[in-house]
Amino acid sequence: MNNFDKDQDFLDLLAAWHENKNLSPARRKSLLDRLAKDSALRVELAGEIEMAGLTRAAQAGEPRWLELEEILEPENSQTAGFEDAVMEKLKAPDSSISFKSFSFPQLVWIGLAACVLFLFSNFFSEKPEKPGVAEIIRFEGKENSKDLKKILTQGEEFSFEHGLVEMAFRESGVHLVGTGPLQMTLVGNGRVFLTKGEIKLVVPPQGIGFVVDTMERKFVDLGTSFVVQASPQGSKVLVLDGEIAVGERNNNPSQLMRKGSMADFDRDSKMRLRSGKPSGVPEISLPPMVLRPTSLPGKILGFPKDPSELDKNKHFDHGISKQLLPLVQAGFEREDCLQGLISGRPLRFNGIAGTYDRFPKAASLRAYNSNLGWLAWYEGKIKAPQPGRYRFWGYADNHLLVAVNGKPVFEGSRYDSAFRNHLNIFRNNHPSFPCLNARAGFARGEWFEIAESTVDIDLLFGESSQNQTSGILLIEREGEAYEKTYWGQPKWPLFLTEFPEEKQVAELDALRIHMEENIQGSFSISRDAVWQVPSGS
Amino acid sequence: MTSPSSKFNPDNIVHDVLQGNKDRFRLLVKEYGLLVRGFLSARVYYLEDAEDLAQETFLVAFSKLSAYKLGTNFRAWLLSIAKFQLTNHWRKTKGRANTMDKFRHDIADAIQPEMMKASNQLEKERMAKLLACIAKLPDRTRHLIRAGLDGVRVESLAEELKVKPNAIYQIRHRAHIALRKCMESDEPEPVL
Repeated sequence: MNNFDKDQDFLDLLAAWHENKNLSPARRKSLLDRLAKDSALRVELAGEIEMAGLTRAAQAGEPRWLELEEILEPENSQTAGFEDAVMEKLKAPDSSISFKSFSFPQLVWIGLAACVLFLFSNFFSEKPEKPGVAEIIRFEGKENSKDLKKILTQGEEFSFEHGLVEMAFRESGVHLVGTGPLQMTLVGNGRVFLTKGEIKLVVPPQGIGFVVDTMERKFVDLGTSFVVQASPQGSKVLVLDGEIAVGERNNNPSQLMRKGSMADFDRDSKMRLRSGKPSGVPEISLPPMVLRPTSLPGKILGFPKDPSELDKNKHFDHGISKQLLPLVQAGFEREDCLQGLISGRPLRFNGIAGTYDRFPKAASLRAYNSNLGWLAWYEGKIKAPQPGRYRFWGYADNHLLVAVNGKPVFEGSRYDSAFRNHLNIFRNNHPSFPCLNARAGFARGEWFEIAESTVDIDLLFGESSQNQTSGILLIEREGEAYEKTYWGQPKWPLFLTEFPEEKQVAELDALRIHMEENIQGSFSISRDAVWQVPSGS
Repeated sequence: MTSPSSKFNPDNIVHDVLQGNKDRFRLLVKEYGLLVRGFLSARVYYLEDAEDLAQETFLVAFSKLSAYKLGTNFRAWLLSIAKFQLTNHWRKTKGRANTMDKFRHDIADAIQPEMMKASNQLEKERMAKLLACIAKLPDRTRHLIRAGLDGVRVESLAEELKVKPNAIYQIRHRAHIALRKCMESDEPEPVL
């Protein structure tokens, strides 16, 4: 009998199967040849793979199959279309009482009894109170809190323009925090309809199944904490913990979203998942921002939070990348589109790599409108480490653009960036080269020629909304041999204009290891690849 | 060796479901859920994909239940649907597959008959013993089996356990042999 656990072919086949271990073409061929000839190896490998699959499935626990559950629900408990149900609820808030089938005489007696009860109850109270659904715990805002009701009833619309509200649902213990401007309807004990604004929910076990409806979707909680945002343009959801089911307005199957997932829903399009899993990509701590003569300077820009600071003649509801399009289109010569924007402290370019959730705060961009995003703009003169042809590789969630001598040479933004949709810059996606949590993988630009002399560089990087920001920017020189990962991706160097300090190198190393272990992406840090900023430029 | 639990007769359930008692379909899901999930988990890289395909298999089985011929082999019929789902999945993901993904497909093609045979040999009542058998593994081996589920890469695991990656596959292989023996025995004994 063969002792397969000492058989290198068997172990290599397992490594290839379970871990996508990279093997040379010759090795792959020899393994397939042996598999074709050796029936004992085939049986052993099949048994091993089958057992591995079974142990995975058994240990994973019972799955929640919502689509199947919906189909197997008894007919009488099947709900009407989602929109119908919501509209029904909104029209008749007290329609929670359902009638089973009764004969006519029974209905007559029930009717009489109801009349007696109605008269009796009216004797004591002219206006019977609707049941309280939720209780306001706290309100902070410009509205007079005395005018606000403490108890909210079923079917009641609740809205305010400025501030924050905290409320608890009486039956389920669901905890809701909403920020203004907010407009929502309390459809029932376990359901709200969000028309406008942002709410965060923390759902205890007894509140599982709590539903938040928006015009685009229904979000069903499965034991979790999540944030829903609704606006005339669509809605967004971010799962902070646990998981939720996202259903469409019709009876199409639900989709599960887990911790860390974020999705956008446009009025006329399908769900667009931003990340299926928490990216877990480390955030590099911000190195000293004090500019040296050899630093590439930059600034961080955003829209002011207070609308009164905005230019009343302009509409600033389109996000920061669209706002800066004229700047890019004019070769970074026309800065009038920056009027009305606010900025943080001066920046010093340290490369782009990892998560940037805390970046605006760290860069002192205070009181900016996070819904409209932020952009860091670095500009200056730089000199290549040596003349030659170069091209950029990278990706950003959301905006990333590099221009040399005023002409864009790389655009690596997410699909919803105005840079990507309006500028028509050459770009190739490489899904087989994983990059952060981007499905597109690394994007690359065209080759561009660099001589001995300095060139002007403009680099834009930022976020379109809120704070789930990540990015990476690498540079390749034509003809240069780069070390490759075992799955064949060249480790292009990080695009830098100063070699990072020891602490930052350690953090970048941790980021690289995270990428290699979790997503199979990679990069390198090389002194030889650092571009120089001529002193005093 | 394709008979499921001796007391369980899928045909009666299928008959009930076809008569309109669709809630009874849950019994089929309960009986064959692990089999289908295990079958797919063995063949698909990401567990989430396997779970989605397993659900799809049961959805198709439910919608096509009238096509199942009573008196034949329900389990084999169900696995044929799972296999169809898998083929579809591979076809759809082929465009995105890299060299090593393609190599995995080549391996799967080469050992397909043996894998079908191996999954046919997994009887339901034996599968039910699996978790109890895993619980009897030594801590280190159990950790190693669990790590595979959690998606920890072999290189990281080898570093953590201070062994070479090959040793991880060896320990897993031995554990799987022990688990198979444990599942087949009438009175599960502590394994390894």
